[in-house]
Amino acid sequence: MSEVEPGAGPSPYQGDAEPRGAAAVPRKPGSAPRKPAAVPVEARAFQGQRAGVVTRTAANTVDFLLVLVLLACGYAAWSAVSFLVTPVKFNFPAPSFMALLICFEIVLITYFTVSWATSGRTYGDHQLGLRVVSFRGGPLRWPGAFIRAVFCSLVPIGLYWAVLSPTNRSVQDGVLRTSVIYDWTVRREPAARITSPG
Amino acid sequence: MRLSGRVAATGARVAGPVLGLALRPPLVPRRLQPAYGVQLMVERWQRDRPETLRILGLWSTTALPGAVDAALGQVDVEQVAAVVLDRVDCDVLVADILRRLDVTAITLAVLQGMDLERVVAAALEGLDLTAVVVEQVDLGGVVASALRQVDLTQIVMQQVDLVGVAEYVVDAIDLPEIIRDSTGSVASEAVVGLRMQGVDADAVVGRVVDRMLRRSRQRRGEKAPHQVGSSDAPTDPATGEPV
Repeated sequence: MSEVEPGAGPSPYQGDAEPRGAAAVPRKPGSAPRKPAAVPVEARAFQGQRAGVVTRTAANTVDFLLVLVLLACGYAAWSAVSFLVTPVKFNFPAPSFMALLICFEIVLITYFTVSWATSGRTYGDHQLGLRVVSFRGGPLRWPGAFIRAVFCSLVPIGLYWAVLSPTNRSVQDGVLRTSVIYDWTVRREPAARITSPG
Repeated sequence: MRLSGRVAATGARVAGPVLGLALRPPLVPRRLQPAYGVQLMVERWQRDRPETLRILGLWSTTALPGAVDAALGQVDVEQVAAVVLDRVDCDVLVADILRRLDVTAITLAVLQGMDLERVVAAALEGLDLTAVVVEQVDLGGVVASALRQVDLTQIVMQQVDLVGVAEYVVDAIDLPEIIRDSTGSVASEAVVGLRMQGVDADAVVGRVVDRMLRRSRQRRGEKAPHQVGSSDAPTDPATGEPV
């Protein structure tokens, strides 16, 4: 669920707000010093651009697997507690598919919400060098992150609208005005160069 | 006056050859020529009348300057000079004069006699020296030549507080954060490779879909790494970004 979108309208990412590698550019008085990015040279050109569907699918796959592992751990813990409480009559819990699905969705929504509202990226996003940003280019707020998490969890197929979108936006991106961008840095500040489809 | 001068000049020009022929007729021995007799008479006259010669000398010394001045007063000197210059090859004349003069000595004498600083200051005041230098001087060549003769590295090491500069740069760019970035986000070659392959795959899928949908414009927000900076990649002329 690392889909997203920076804005349809004028975005703070548009253009080279602070081009990397342009070391000779004089800094405005009082502005914060420019910090070089620890990004490989070959990857700097597309930092800040909206990511394509392949990368986002890979990141989501990692996240889904992670959530499955979490669920498995929860199931193991539940079983262990049941065994400790009633060792004689112990049977492995057998929840219904609907219960499992609901638990999966709850864990997934919680995981997405916390990830996007704090660091802007899930573990899958981190591995694939992605970040979810708002239409302003900054991190999502908690309500926005929660709504997007619900949307992505309930309608995961919406991601694949990015295949058809000329601006690499999923359904969630279009509705919530978010973006998923390439951002290999670990900073919270937005990438310096972002191609805005708007 | 002018007319009389012309008449005199013409008369002299006409009478000169005739008189010369009469005084020195051809095919006549020198001793039998009238000119020779005239010369002997003059010499005898001068020898017999030394007092007269001395008086004439004194008279000419006294009267000649006044006579010359009076004569020049009756003459348009500028016109005479112009006539003379018309008949003279000035280039040859000046070259001959310069050859006879010690120009270096004259220049040194002039320089010693003048306030050079004042002259230079007055000249620079009416001159945009910067513009002249920029237009007339090969500054690149001058700088390159100077740099060839100077060990810039040695000068910098001696004159610049390199440690201070390094500390300033490290502080300005927040090097510790960069190191954290490097080790935190781009931990291994495998991760970099995975990400780059993902970006490439995104670009390939985008191109295939765009072709299937007959999109002529490259999709925004999608740019494969190998396309970055390539000359054939379409870009927005205003922002320089891919379109």
